[in-house]
Order: sequence, then C-alpha cells, then structure tokens
Amino acid sequence: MTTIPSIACLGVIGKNNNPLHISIFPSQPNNAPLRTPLQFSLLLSSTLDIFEARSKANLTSGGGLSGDFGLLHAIDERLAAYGFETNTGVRFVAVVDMRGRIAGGDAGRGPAVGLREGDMKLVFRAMQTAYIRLLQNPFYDPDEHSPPTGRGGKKISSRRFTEDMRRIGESWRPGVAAV
Amino acid sequence: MDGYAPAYVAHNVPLLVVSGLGSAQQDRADLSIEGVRIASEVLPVESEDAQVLLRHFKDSDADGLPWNGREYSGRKKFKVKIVGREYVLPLRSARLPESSRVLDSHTSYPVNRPVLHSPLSPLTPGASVFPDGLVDPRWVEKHQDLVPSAYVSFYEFTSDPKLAILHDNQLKSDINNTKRILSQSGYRTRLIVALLSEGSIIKSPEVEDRLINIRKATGLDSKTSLFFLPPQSSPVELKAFVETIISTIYPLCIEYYRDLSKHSRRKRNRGIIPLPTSPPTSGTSQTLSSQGWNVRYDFKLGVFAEFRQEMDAAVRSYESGYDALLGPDVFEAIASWSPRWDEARLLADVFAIRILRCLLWNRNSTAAVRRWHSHRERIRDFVDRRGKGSSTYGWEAWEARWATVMAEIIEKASISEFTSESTSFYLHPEKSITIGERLEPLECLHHPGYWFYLASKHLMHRRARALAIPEEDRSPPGWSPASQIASKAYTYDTYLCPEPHEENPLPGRKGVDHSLLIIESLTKAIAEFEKRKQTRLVHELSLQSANESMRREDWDTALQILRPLWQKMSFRREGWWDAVEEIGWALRNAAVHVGDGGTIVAVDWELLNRSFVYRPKWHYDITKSLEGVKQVTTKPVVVLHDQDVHSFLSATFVFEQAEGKVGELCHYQLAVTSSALPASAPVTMAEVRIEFDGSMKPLILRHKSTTEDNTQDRGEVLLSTVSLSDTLSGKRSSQSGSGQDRRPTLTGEDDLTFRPGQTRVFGFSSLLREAGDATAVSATFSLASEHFDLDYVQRFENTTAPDVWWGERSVKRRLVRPNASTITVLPKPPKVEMRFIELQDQYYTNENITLQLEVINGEDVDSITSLDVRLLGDRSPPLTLKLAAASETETETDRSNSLPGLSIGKIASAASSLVEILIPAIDLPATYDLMMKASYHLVSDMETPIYRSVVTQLTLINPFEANYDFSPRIHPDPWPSFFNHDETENTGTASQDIAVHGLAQQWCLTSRYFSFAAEDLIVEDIDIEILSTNGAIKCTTNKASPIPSGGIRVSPKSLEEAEFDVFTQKISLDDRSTATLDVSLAIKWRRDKEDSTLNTTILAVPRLLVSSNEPRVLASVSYSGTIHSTVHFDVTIENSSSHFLTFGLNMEPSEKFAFSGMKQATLQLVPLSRRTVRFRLIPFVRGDWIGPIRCVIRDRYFQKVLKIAPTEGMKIDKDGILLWVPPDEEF
Repeated sequence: MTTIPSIACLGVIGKNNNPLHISIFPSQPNNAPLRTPLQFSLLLSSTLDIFEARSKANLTSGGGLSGDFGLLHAIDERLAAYGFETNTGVRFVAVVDMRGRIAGGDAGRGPAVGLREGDMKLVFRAMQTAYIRLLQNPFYDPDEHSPPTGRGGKKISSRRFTEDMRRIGESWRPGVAAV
Repeated sequence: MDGYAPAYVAHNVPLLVVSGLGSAQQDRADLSIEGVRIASEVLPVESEDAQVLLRHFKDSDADGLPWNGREYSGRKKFKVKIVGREYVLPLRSARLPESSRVLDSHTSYPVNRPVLHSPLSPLTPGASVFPDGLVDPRWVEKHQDLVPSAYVSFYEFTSDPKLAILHDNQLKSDINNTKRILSQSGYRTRLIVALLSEGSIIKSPEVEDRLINIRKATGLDSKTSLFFLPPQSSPVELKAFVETIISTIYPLCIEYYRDLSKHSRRKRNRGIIPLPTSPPTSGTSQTLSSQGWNVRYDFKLGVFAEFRQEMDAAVRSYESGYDALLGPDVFEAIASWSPRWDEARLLADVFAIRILRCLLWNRNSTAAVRRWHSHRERIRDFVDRRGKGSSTYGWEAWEARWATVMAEIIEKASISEFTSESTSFYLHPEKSITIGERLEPLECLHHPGYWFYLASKHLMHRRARALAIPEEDRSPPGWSPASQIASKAYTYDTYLCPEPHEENPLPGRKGVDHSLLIIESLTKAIAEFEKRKQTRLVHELSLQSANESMRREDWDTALQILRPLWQKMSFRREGWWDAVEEIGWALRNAAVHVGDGGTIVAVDWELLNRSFVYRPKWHYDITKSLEGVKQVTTKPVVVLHDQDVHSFLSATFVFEQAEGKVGELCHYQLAVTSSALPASAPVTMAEVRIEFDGSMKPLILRHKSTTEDNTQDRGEVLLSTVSLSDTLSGKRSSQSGSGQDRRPTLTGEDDLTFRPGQTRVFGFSSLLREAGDATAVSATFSLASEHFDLDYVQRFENTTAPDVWWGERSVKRRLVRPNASTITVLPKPPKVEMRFIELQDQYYTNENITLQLEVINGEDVDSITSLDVRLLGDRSPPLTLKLAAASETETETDRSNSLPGLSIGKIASAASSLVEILIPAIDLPATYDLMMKASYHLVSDMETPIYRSVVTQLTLINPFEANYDFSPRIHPDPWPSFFNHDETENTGTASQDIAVHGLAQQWCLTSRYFSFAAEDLIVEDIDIEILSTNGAIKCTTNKASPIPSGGIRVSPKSLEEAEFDVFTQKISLDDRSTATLDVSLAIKWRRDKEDSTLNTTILAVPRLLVSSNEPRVLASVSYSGTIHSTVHFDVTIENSSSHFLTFGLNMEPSEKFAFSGMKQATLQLVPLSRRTVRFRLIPFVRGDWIGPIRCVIRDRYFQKVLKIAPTEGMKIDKDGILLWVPPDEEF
C-alpha cells in the first residue's frame, strides 16, 4: 500500500494573526481527519511563530519577495506545514499529510514519497485566486475580518470560498498540473 | 540515550594518561582492579610549575565537547586522565578459568594448552558475551577509559650536581622499569617522559650531557618521547610546553589506534573463528557465527576510526557492521526469547546512534534523518516479524526513546544554525542531495524541540497502550500462575522498558509515571521552542504539559502553568477561540481542585461568551460559579480587564453631540451588548461605573430590581432613560477601607440585568459643568454575589465599527465622528452685552472724549459684574471709568473684589448699567484699541467666572488744517524822522513798553483753514498767539475779520479764511537786522450740539519773516469818494535803509484804463523816509480786474527793479499788479 501526500488542512490567517478560514480534509486509510479541529487550529497558530521569525529575517536580508515561505515546519513524520504570505499580510497555510492518500492506479511511477520544493506553489496560487475573488465581492469588507485595531476579526463565511478551498484540498496531489 | 551504556554511545577520543604530576591521591580505586600495575618509586613532582601544568592538562581535556568537527580541531584533542605514580592497566588476556584447568587434568582434551583471549571476548568463558554474544560495552570502556594511547610520566630533574648522578640513575631505572611493564602488558601504549628541571639551575652543557645520557640509557626518542622543561619558565612557556607535548604526541597516538584498527582488520580478513578458551558447557552450545564476528570487528574498526576522528571511515565500518548485524545470519538467527536478542537489538541501536553522530559530524543532516528513519523502519520490521510486534507499549517506548536519542544527538552536535541567534527552525538539505529531489519535510533536520515533542507523542501512545493491558497481566510476578507469566513474556516487549506490572501497575502499587515522562519530554521541547521564540507552540505544549500534570492530580503545577498561560496567550488576542476555550476549561478544572476562586470566576466569565462552544451540561450562570468548590476560603475579589479576557459584555459610550456648552444639557448613551451563549442565565450587575477623563464627573448606575415581570422586554435592543442625581460617593467604601476619596458623582438607577444577545441602551442627560474635553474612558461592571465580587473593566477604545446613537423603537443613527465617546465642552457663552450709547462718528484731537458704555445683563439671573477698560496703542493716555448712575454703592461691590477692574455691582436680569469712560484730550492724531472686559458671576453660580470682552477701535484725527499767507501792508503811522531828535525818549514810559523807536510795519496774516471733521463744527473764536519773536521787535496782532457771536458754522470739507493784522516795530531805529515771528493759530470750536464743551485746536504757523533793511515798494488802492469811477493807485516807496537812494519811476499806459500822474520821474529818498506817488486811474471796465499796471520802480544806483508788493484789494500776476474795479453801483 503506497501512500502519497495529501492536504490535511488549509488555513487562511488574517493580518491580525486571526483565523479567517480553516478547512480540514480526511486522510487515508481511515478516511478521517488525522487530528481534531482544535489540534489543527493549534497547528495553524504555531506556524505564525515561523511566519514572524522569517518575516523579521526577510526584513534584514531583503529576501522573501515572492511571499512563498515554503516549508514552515514539520510537526511530525506525517504532518508538515507550508506557508505563503500575500502583500496584504494574509497568510495561507497548507498542512500536508505525507501519507494521506493511497496511491491510485498510477502507482507505476513508483512510490512518490516526499515533496518537491515547488509542489505547493500550485496550492497557494489557487488559494490566492480564490481569495482575490472573495475580495472582489463588494459585500466582503476586509476591515471587518482584520480590523485595524489589531485584535481578532470575523471568519470568512463565503460559501463559494469554502467550496473553493474544498476543491483545492481534495484535488491536489503531488505533481498535478492544476487544481 | 539513558538506556545505553555511556561508553557505548559516547564519542571516542584518544586517551592520555598523565602521571606523576601533583599529589598522588587520584584514582586509588583503580588500583584495586585486576591488571598490570605500573608503579614507580620516584615521588611525584609537586612544584608550583607542576600544578600549573596539571591545570593545563585538565583544561585540554576533550571529554564532553560537542560532537562536531569544529570543536575537535582545536587544542583539545585528548581525553586526559590524571593519575599519580601508579596506574593499573586491565589484563589483556583472561586468566585460565579454574574449571578448565580442572578439566584439563582429567579429560583427554587433546589441546595441549588452551588459547587465552581477552576477558571481554566471546571466546573467554566467564565473559558476559560468552559464548555467542556480540559486543560487551566494557570493551569500549576499556579503550576509552583504561588503556591509554600514551602514558606521560613526569619526573623532576634535579639541579644539585652532587645528587645528579644518583638521581639520573634512579630516573633511568624507573623509566626502564615502566617501559618494561608497558611492553609486558601487551598494549602498545607509548611512554612519554617529561622532565621538569628544578628551580635554580642555569642551562649548561652539563645538563645537555645528562639528558643525552638518560636518553641513551632509556632508548627514548628525544623528539617525540622525551621532553625537558627548562627552569624558571614563564606561564606562557608552561602552557606552550603542554601544547607542544600534546601536538607532538597526537600523531603518534593516532598511529596507535591505527595499529589497533589494522589488528582488527587483519583478524576480520582472516575469516576464521578462533577457538574458545574452553567450549561452552552450559545452555546452548551455540557459538558466535563468523558473520557475528564480522559485526564485532566492524564495530571495533568503527570505534577505532572514531578515536582517530576519521568519521567517514567510521561510518563505513559501522554501516557494514550494521548491515551484517541485521542481515540474515546474525540478528535473524537469534531466538527472540533469548536475552541475546535484546543485546543484538541494543547493538543495532548503538550502531545507528554512532552512524547518526558521524553523519551529523560531517553535516549530512538530511542523510542523518533518513538514517534515523530507516533504522526505525528496519527495527519495526524485525519486531513485527520476529519480536512481539510494534503494537506494544514497548515499541512505543522505544519510539519515544529513539526520538529522544535524535534530539540529544542534535543537541550534542551543537549545529551552528541551531545555536546561533539565527532563526532557523530546520536545516536545509545538504549539498549532496540533488535539488528537486522529493523530500519528506521532516528530512530537513528540525531542531531538537521537534524531536522531544515527537518523543512526547510516542510517550502518550505508550501510555495508551499500557492502559490497555488487561488486568491479569498487570499482577506482579509471583501472584499469577507460571503459565500466565510465560504468556506475558511472549506478549510484551520489555526491551529497555519495564514489565507490564510496572508499566501499568495495579492500583496501590508503584510503577511508571507516564505523565511525568511526558512532562519531562515536553519541558525539554518547550525549552527548545522558547529559545527560538515559538511562543504559540510553547503555549500549545504548555497546555499539554498542564493536562498531564492534571492527570497526575498535580493541580498546583497545572495551575501554575495555566494561569499565566491563560492571561498572556496569543490565542485570545488573535481570535483562536477553540484554543482559548480549551485552555479556559483546563484552567477552570485545575482551579477548582486547588480552590482558586478568583480564577474560577474569571474563567467562567470568559466562557459565557458566544464565541465558545456550548456545553449542554454546564449551567452557564456566573453566580453559581463557586458552587461546589470547597477549598475557597476567602471571598475572592476579581478584577478583569477587557484586554485580558474575551468578555461577553461589551460596552460603547457615545455623546450625542461632539460639542456642548457649560450649563447646557448634554445627552449621552451607554450601550451594553451581551454576546453570551443563548442558553446562559441573565447576568445582573450591582452597578456600572463610567469613568471620564477630563471635565466630567464619574457616573454610577446602580441596579434597581423592577418588580414587574419584564419578560416582554426581551427585545434585542432595550432603551431606557435613566435620570441622574448628583451625589458624593466613596469609591467602593467597603473595599478601599477608608471612604476618604469621596468624589462627586452622578448616580442613577436602573435594572442592570443583561440577557444573552440583548443590547441594553441607557440614555442619560446631565448638565455640563466644566469647560474642556471630556472622554469616557472606561466602564466598570461590578457584580457582587455572596461568594465573590467581580469587577469587569472595559475601556472605551476606538473601534472601526461606527458609533451609533439609539433612538426610540431601535432606530439607529450613525454618528460620523472619529471618537464619539469624547465631548468638547465649551465655556458658557457670556450673555452680558456691552454697547456704547451716543457714540460719535468721529473723535478729534484736543477733545475730551466721554464714552458711554451700557452693560446689559442678558443672563436669566442677576449677575455681579465688574468692568475693566483699557486703551491700547502708542502712548495711550490713562482713562478713567465712572459709573453713570450714583446708585452703584451697594454692598456687593465689596464682595466681588476678586474680579478685576471697576466693580459695577449687581445687575438685575435684563437690566443694564451705564459706565462712562473718560479719555483726556489727546494732542496727536492716532488710532487706539479700546478693550472692554466684563467679568461676572451669576448669582446662581458664584463659582464660575464668566468673561465677556469687546474691542473697538478709536481713531482720532485733527479737525482742522490751515495754510497761511503773510503779506505786507502800509503802516498808517508816520515814520519817525531820521533828522529829528525826540527828547521824550526813555523817560516816563512804562517799563514793559520800553524803547520802541524803530520802524513800524504792518503785515497781514491770512489764514485759510480747512475742516476735516465729519460733521459741522462751530468755530467760536479764532486767534493768533504770538509764541516768540526774534530780532528785537515788538509785535501786536489784531483780528482783522471779526467772528460773529455764536461762531461760524464750518461744514465738513469747507475752507474758511481769517485775516489778522500784525504790527511789528523795531525796538531800535538803528537796528536793520531781519526779524522773525513765531505764531500759532488757535481755533476754539465745539460740536454742533447743546452744551458741548469748547475745545481748542492749536495749529502751528510757519515762521514769519519781517525784514526791514531793504527798500520796498508797496502799492495800495483807494477809491475816490468824490469822483465817480476814479481809482487812486498809490505807490509807496519805503527807504528803510540809512542811505540816500534814487529811484526811477516809469508808468506805462494801458488799454484797460487811463491814468493821470507821473509817467516818468526820478524820486530821491533820504534815509528812513517814505514817499507815495499817486496815480488816478479811470478804468474802462467795471466789475473786473484791470491791469496789469506796468509801473516800474528802478533803483538808479544799483540798477535794480524793485518789486511792487500789493496790499489789500489787489493781486499780482506775472506781468504786474491787478486792481479790482468794482461794478458801477458800488462806487
């Protein structure tokens, strides 16, 4: 039984470090999420430490213009968090379960263990597209979700955005061309 | 790495034994072991230098250095062991066992003599690995701790020439003895001799000879084995001496280990199993297979390579040994019930640990992780196939151990990225990994915190497995039948972990404290994460740690972790409510057990918020918070602040208007929204207190229970208007003890019950009392129950949500202001008015000005007023104020002394008071500012002074300006004769009229003055004042044109003329000098109205010149009274000089008139005489000017034409004099 990575959780974190959206996806073989929603929340929150540290480092070194933070950290052998930051300070986090999916019929390529550097870019591009589409909605007020006072904010309630996240999370697998 | 023998896993460094330095108390215990004893008669060196050397040796001990190439490249290369004069080396070969000796004698064993092997070899009976074990950890220990690569022996080199020979001989024999023992021991340990010369000798050839002598006698190499420390060496030299020894012998020592490697490799390559000393007799007859021997040799080769710090070689040997060990012939061949199985497994772990270390040493971090991973997978495979499976607690225990081992290795390797300040959480793959290769995320080597965290997770799994052990397996040995024990042995993997009865003991028995293990692991992880400022992860792990503490019922520890966590966690600020909730419930649980009432109440308050998940069994009633909590001793007083807690109550405060004025009614609202869980009980507050910053008094809203059933009030928004009353209240007098800080407050009462989801709006209105800005700062909700007191303080902060003003029936109105909780209170507008009565359009200079100011009290009540008036400007005169009415002398004036200026006293409402402002006459035109300031109190509010000020401009101008014409006239009096003598001179005349004998002249000063006034002015009189005369003349003036009584009315911008006759007479007849007159024109005028005062405006007149020494010609005209239409034209020539003058006269005829008289004549004038020549003219015109009359008078002597000056009735133009001919009727 060969397993390949799958997305276990997609998180959108606002400028105030507040959760805007969390989607959790089931993992094989039990077809159930690997962790509880609380654990995923904590996992997403813990990536903020790394975002902060990296941003600080980027400030001094002048790097990180693309916004792709790559691997943030691997919390254990199965779960690893990848991150992306938009220009407006919204963070996308993809938590990947390294054994989340049972390789299907195309197992002929051999066990695809691990991830390449660019595998997650696709996910973040798709997430950003979905987020931009959300922002284009005139009824979506970004200030409501990340108030300038710097505390908390509402979650995203757009059904379409949630649907987009679900689609991204379910259709992504290493090496796919589009999600 | 606790479970592994320390020597097994430690990094190996060459061992150096230093003997003979310092006092010899070290390592006495070693002497007790069996072995080859090196002993020496010579006393240890105990000089000061020896102590310093000793210290340097100790400093260069490489034991415990981090495991990486950087550290070992430095000075510290050896593990240094300091011993005295004696040292024991372990036996190289075991003694012949007694039993075999016995056997020897009885049986017909053909072997002539048993082969002796190392006591640690599987070939030696009695060894722990006999007959089929693989490696004894003591073997590593032997090389690392007991058998040195070099044995440094220090001796004193005496300086006394007498003792020298004796001493040197002693040295020689001792060195030779030691050398002999070493070579007999079988070890190839090098002997190094270091000689410390005694204090005072000077280096001399003799010493060289002695050294050569010793060297020859002992066969030591002078470069590498014999060191000599010259006397009186400096500390630097001492240090350099030690370094020289170390750096010189290090290559030799490496060579020593290389020889050992060669030995092992030779044996490995020989490929035959040596015969044991005696065959195994007990247990199995199995002996170690040749593959097993290879494992042994590979292990040895690896260790020796580590001694040489050749990590690549070590990895190769270890990998080869590891593969052999886990290959089909060694591990697979061992029965899983055998203790050898565990030993082999342990050896596999040790191999893996050593490989990991070597990989990290060479910074192959990703390879290390992969190795770590593959070892686990291989062992899991083994355990699943041959052992007891990987679903036992033992497996999880090993998993935890394996993760901890990795963490500890990473820590020991002290990788620079993890130790420095840089913020890397993991290492990027090393260069040998190709870019684009698929990588497991964990294969980027993460810092130890992650590994400890991983270990803690496995420990939790281990506990879960342990708790699942059935009870019959948990009974201690001896309690259960043997069959069960046997089955236990087959079920449970106890590799490096306890038996089931300890792993999960029956109640009341001691066993493994899983929680403590987890907490230990978490604590290590937290320390690592904290180092890298991963605060959120630290919070998460702290929560887990606290949960474990609670599992152990260590409530105090849990509370100590959770309480600060609950307060400072970032989850609340960032809105991760599920995490906040988790921590909240955990904290409540701990606090209930500890009895921390305050914490319970605080958590309960927060958990009422709708953001949290509803727990159906929970009461959600803050008043019941402490029910059932036993340990609470004192009544807790809790103060919560909005930034510290995610409160369900939120309050906003708005003023209806952004501005208000003192004394006006101001409306404001407090809106309290409860976002409590819908199922929670309503919360009733005792009071709500609103604090203001600035000029408003605090407001207290107290609870008043309403008797009526207010179930119908369950609307979303409930608006109520609260009437306020002024009170003095102590701020919680029961709390603050002394009720001293009693402050004036506004107090109101209303029902303070807040239902979930409801917004209560309290409308207030109060009078503004004080000017300035007022900002509502905070609302304090106080809840008093019988078990606790709670204050929730919310600060009103700027939010992005628009401020809303609630109207009746939930009508909302947005307040578009940046901060609606601020009001600007303006001072009360003064209603006292000031105005001038009968203010003139224009005021003039030289006028006494009286201004009448009416002060009108426009306030609703009487006011006590005083007035201050100032004239501001250049050289402003002082002014006086006068009350117009005489009735001002009331007693109030005394009381209102505090106000500046003239006290006016009480002015009744809507009444007025009149004040006169007197400004003295000002000479120069100017512009002044007249500032009037009325300050007053109202009778109703004596505290607040109110000010009203008015500024008007006062411009003063000159009412008149004038110009002047000064022309000569003919003095009617006869001139004194130059030739007569008058006797009456100087006698009997009045003293002031002294001696006026000179020529008298008459002049006419014509003044034309112009009115600049804005209205008609009455000029009462106009006169000339003679200010001064120069040149000894007497002067009198006479008004030529009389002023009618009642004055002349001068209208604005009109020109008036006034003529004055000026008579001048020289005091002396002989004085011919020129004289001047200074006069001024004084116009006395008044305004054109009743009883106006008379003002005098003085206008300056340019200096008038009165000359008298030149002859002059004056023309005059007179009209004949007898002959109609005849005009007499007289030309008077005055000779005021003292010369006899001759003038020629020539009168030309004209077309305008006919004349009779001299047409041409010569006139002779004696000194001081005058002569008049008359012409009679008959003009041809009437009512017109005729002329010019061309009459030329010429001084014959000087040939100079004298100018004829006209007098009254004449004028002059450029051709000559013109005469006025009146019309016929006037003749």
